[in-house]
Amino acid sequence: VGRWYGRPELAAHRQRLTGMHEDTPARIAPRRRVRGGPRIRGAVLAAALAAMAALAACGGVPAPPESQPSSPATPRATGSAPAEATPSPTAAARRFEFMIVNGVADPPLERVSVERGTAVRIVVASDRPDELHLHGYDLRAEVGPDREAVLELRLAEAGLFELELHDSGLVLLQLAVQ
Amino acid sequence: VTPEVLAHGIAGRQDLPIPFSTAVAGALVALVATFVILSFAWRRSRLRGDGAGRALPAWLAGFLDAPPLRWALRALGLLAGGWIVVALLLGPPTAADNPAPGALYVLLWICVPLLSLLFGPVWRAVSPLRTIHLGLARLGGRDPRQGLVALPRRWGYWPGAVLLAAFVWLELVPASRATLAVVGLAIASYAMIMILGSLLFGSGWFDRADPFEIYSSLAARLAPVGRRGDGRLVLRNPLDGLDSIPPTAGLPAVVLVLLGSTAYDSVAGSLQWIRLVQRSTLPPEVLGTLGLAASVAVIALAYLLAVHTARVVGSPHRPPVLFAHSLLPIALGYVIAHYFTLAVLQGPRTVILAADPLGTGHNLLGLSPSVVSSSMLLPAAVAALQVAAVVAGHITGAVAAHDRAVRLFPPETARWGQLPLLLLMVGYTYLGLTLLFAG
Repeated sequence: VGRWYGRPELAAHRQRLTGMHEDTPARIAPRRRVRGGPRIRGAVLAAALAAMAALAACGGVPAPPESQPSSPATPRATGSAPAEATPSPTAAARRFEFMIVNGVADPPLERVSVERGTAVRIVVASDRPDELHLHGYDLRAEVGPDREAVLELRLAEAGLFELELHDSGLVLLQLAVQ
Repeated sequence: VTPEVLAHGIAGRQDLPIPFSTAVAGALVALVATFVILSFAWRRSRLRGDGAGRALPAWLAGFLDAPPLRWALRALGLLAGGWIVVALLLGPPTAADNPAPGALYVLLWICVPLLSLLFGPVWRAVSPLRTIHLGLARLGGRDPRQGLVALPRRWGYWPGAVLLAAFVWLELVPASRATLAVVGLAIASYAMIMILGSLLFGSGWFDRADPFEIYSSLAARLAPVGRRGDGRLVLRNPLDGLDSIPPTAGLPAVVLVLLGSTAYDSVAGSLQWIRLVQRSTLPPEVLGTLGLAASVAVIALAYLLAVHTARVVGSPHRPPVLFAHSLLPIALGYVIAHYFTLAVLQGPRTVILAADPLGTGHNLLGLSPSVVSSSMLLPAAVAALQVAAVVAGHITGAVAAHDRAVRLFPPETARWGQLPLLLLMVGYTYLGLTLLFAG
């Protein structure tokens, strides 16, 4: 892994942020609670919960009106200016480095658990041109013999996310953000 | 040119594995519930299927069945369908900005059945293809139910089961599933098969062959409001609704494809499966097809074995399809566990994307897709909901099977005759929990 790491990163990384996460993921300031004591009959409560959930999921009632984008631009990929990815004070930064030779990744695929809010830096080198994609966060970066891909972001969303090389379909990492 | 490939059918986010303790708790509850049902539940059948239910007040039933409301729903369906087709053809050329993939894989495939569970057969009421067929029949001055030839009764749900299998393959296997070209091809093929089939066989074709309508209408049997055998709209116990599902040929195939494909989706996200695909020299599409087929085959073989044993123990004269309905809640519980967060996160995003169908910067809802964030979902709450859905599906299925066993089997064999089915359900539930835990 160290063989390529430390090589001056090319300033010309063409990295694009695509899709849905260009803006800050919004936080819902006051989390909505469902009221109701134990006296409410279970079935009624369950039905009400299910109805609310299905409506929220499918009826295009996406968020309560008080939701506001809060923190400054959070998930971002930067080429050579990593300074703005602000790690939260509680979660330490994590680094992931991969080298791909002949379609084989080193280190091999693992699932790594990280806490939500962790700042991560992902560096990938490959002997072939490809596109690096962090699913869910939808961050992409070109990679090739003459350019490393660098993704820097704060893991603001919980879930299981795959880091993949698109053209070859090689999955490098599963990030379990707790 | 890089195709816009979106993992996991459509979205890039998967749920975290559920904690071990939650999985064990769910498994224990399922096991105890099964034991209680087997030992202490009623000895005589209580469910009355499509004879049960309290009729809705006349004004409400009249409103729900009023032709203007029905036509408004059809118009809404036509508008939404046309909207998505226009967005697909003329809208943003990148899949991530175009609402069409989400409309197919999230709204139609996941949200419509979830809504049907609450409100009744949604897709039947809004299906734009049904409306187009109805319009064509009216233009030709024909009864829409009348085709050129009669649809063979013994086909049952088999045409729908085959199309359902084709759809889940599309959703889960090809890497290009979410590209606009593939989505367009899928929608065009679906529309063509439905329209040509309905012209040939009449509107009954939709009941038997439209995979989305079959799925939605089966889920709708568990809705609190249903239609009784005499045609009246009634408020009823979901267990009676479930019991009212007619034992149509091909019903087991539909439910087993649903269960098997959802299980495969869990398996395909696991480290072990991805490692296997990466080490193999076979193309990922071939392995994916084999994996999907194997998942459905394992689930189906277990079902056939259980049903066969039940007939040997219980009553050899009863056809196996009579118990297929009891697997439906198990499949739905697992589908909810597996897809609920996808619906919550991607459903509204798709609607927001559809508010700017041509990518011209219009925003008819005034919302940005980024307002939907997974930080709304606490992992512990999601895990609890997943296990609750699986266990609730299990208990509903077990009760439905028990009631039918005591109705159909002779009293002396009823208790042990249902045992193979209950064991099968425990097996499915444990498999589902294991996949949620390990996936």
